[in-house]
Amino acid sequence: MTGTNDKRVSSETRQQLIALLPRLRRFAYSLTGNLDEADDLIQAACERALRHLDQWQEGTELDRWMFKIIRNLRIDNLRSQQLRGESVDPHTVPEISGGNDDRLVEAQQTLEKVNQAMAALPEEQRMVLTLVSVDGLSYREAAAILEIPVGTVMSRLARARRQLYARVHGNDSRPK
Amino acid sequence: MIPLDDEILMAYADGQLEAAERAEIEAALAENPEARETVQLFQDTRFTLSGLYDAPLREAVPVRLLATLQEDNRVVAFPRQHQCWYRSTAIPWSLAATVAICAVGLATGIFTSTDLFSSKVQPALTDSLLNRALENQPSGTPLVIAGNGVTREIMPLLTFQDTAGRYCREFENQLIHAFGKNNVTVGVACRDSDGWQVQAEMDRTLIAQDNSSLVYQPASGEAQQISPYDVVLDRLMQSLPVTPAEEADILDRHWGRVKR
Repeated sequence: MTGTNDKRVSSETRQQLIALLPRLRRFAYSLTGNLDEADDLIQAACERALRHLDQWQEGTELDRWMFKIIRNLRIDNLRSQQLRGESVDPHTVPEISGGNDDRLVEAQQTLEKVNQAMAALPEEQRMVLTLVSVDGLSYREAAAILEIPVGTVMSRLARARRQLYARVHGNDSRPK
Repeated sequence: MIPLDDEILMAYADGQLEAAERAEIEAALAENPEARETVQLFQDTRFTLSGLYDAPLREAVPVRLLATLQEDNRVVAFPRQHQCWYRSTAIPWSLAATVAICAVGLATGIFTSTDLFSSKVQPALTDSLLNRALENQPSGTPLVIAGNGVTREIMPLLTFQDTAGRYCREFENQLIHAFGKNNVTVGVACRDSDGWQVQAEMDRTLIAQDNSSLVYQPASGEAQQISPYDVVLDRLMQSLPVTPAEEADILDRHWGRVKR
């Protein structure tokens, strides 16, 4: 803004980023379904953010800006994986250990279904779903981050949730 | 007349419509059972994912991410070695006995930098369930909330008064949920006029096990191998916890008066 273009990142901004880390990790986790992969994504996003902090306009919300960076990196990653012919299998479902508790078993079953449903969604639907249903943003805010019209957010979100519902409440019609 | 398509019914279920539109939808819904079912579907799925990916909110942020954002390199990963032991005798009435306390005997005031705490211990999250549990549950009695595929258990472990006379409680926070993970954190919160404020919270495995953890590397001298959580607890907890009888009395009085 001032034209001095001071690249030195203020410690205040660093602290703000650090404070955001839990939320950013949750966002990345819901996209990747895997914490290690989520952390790789967050690390790359933080590095990019520090390099390009001059592009962030002070006064605008840092979390929204970070969501955008994460989203762009995620799409880049998926594209390059596809180019390299790697299989994209983002969500894995480890077992709950010591699952002899009925409640636990039931929770596990529900979660497996939800997780499979998440994994089956197209990436653009998953992104809308995570921004709105995991992070609790409004349609408008999600639209701003994804740089798409609100109407598109709504149609993607509605489709994603229909699929989610069908998977979780569906009978055995889902693919084994 | 608004067409009752998926998008608009979902927006209605999500509470994202203006009042006028909402009224119009409600009128139309009264005569359309099929649309009401669709609304139900979207109400159901509104919270399907709640809590599912919350593990990062309760875990300590990995060192490598903090290191990326840290200005200097005071924070280093360090293998932990036998610096923890179990305090198993002092508090026989609660599960506090299972919590490893590492801070005994260490001088307080080693950590003078305040940003050290804020960056490595999870920041306090506004959390009404936690607040409820800390306000009402006796130590050793968990508050159990079974959610949509996620069960949360919050159990106060012990109650004490800090040096400022505030009541503080150590607690265990469990999330039995997705991906086979049963997240357990241990934290300490103190009560002020706004409710319970989490002072520190950390993944229990980071506190209790020989694991890589965060250490503070002073400019000179040896690194102190102790988690920030322990330091916070040690700083706050300068006296013995209250007895179960005292605690029952305090709960009865709703934390009303601080006994001197």
